[in-house]
Amino acid sequence: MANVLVVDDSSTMREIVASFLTQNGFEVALATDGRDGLDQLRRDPGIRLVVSDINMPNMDGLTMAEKIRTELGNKEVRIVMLTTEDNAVMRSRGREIGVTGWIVKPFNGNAVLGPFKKLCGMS
Amino acid sequence: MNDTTHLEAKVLLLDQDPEQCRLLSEFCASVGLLPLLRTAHDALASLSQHKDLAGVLLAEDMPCDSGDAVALAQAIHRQRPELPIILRRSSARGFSPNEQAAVAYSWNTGDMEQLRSHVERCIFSLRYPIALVEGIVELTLSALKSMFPHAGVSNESPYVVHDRIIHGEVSTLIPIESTWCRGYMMLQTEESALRQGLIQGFGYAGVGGDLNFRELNNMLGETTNLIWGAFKNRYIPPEAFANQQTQVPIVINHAHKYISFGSPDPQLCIRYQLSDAARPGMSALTIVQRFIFNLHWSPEDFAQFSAGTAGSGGGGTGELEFF
Repeated sequence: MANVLVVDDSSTMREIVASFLTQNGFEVALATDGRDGLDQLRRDPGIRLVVSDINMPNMDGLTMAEKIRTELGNKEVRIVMLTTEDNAVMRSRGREIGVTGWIVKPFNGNAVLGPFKKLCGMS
Repeated sequence: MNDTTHLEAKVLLLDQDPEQCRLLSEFCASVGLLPLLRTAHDALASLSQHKDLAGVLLAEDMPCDSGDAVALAQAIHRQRPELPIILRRSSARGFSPNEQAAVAYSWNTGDMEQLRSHVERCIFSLRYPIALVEGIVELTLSALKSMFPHAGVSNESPYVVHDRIIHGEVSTLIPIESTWCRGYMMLQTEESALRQGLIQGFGYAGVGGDLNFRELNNMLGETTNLIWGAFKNRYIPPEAFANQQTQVPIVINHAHKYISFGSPDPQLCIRYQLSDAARPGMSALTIVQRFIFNLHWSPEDFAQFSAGTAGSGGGGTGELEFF
């Protein structure tokens, strides 16, 4: 059972993030877009943190986050956007939806390790 | 932002007159041209060796193996029509329409101002602000360093090209839209060189699987995405986002005839054959059409749309509509 779900359409990015998190004791599940992310979350109730890109085919990350809160009714899982997007409008939409945090790519594992552990209750 | 940088540009210099070569070298240095001095004999071969040229400086009195310099200009023009050819005139003879088409610009020997004006017009026709060029380099270096953390990353001086030749086999393309520009960013590289770099350990350990071409495409795709994101965050003002839709990188690998729009969903594909009724034995020309709804696809919304427009379709095209 995973405790982190990494959602990104780029397999390279998934590998970079997943390999860092796995090396640091996380159990990682992977999804290729928002639609896939929702499916994974439905199947795996142990996921405590979703780390998601925004710009993805089929379903973008913010729409997925919104559906996690509304369709799935999951208010507990923490959602962190890991994205190239840095504009205020998107951030504000994320805040309204119930996104927990926002990271502008590139991914710097060491900078987020502590907070991720806290969000997953690992510290 | 309004200061413009003087970018460099590579040109093929085809001139054998020592005095003219000296003057042209000085001229090139003063305007930012990097001249590649060649003979008529190796001019065409040089075209295939240099795929990032901005133009050709050719002398009308250039000694040629066969024909004359204008014939050489035509040969160059046939091979690379996008390259402007600037001819140094040494005679007063007129050109035929075909010759004129090849030689877009000509200047009289000694009239350096005329040459300067041609170079400004046809080679440096777009001026790029210093802040923009420096910013692009900076954010790109940062993205490259984050994708390839164990590689030494540096850049050559930015320059302009008129060539449309693709470098390497792997390319990515992504739209760039702001209030001030609309276009694409393209990254291109050689598949084997990218694989070799990753084997050498440029990237993250364990990332990239067995480094097959799809993995390499993804690597370049994500690099594109990082640069695009950084560009957007820096250069696209919020008001430009109003009409902006989500984009994902398009990855092309020519060697494998491969193009990815980032979605695993099936694409709508229709093949058309164009044939000659008078020659039924001849092979048909096949045109393949594909629709790739990779960014948004909602058949429910389409059903609603088509119900709302039922009966209104089928209007003739080519008809004159009065307002």
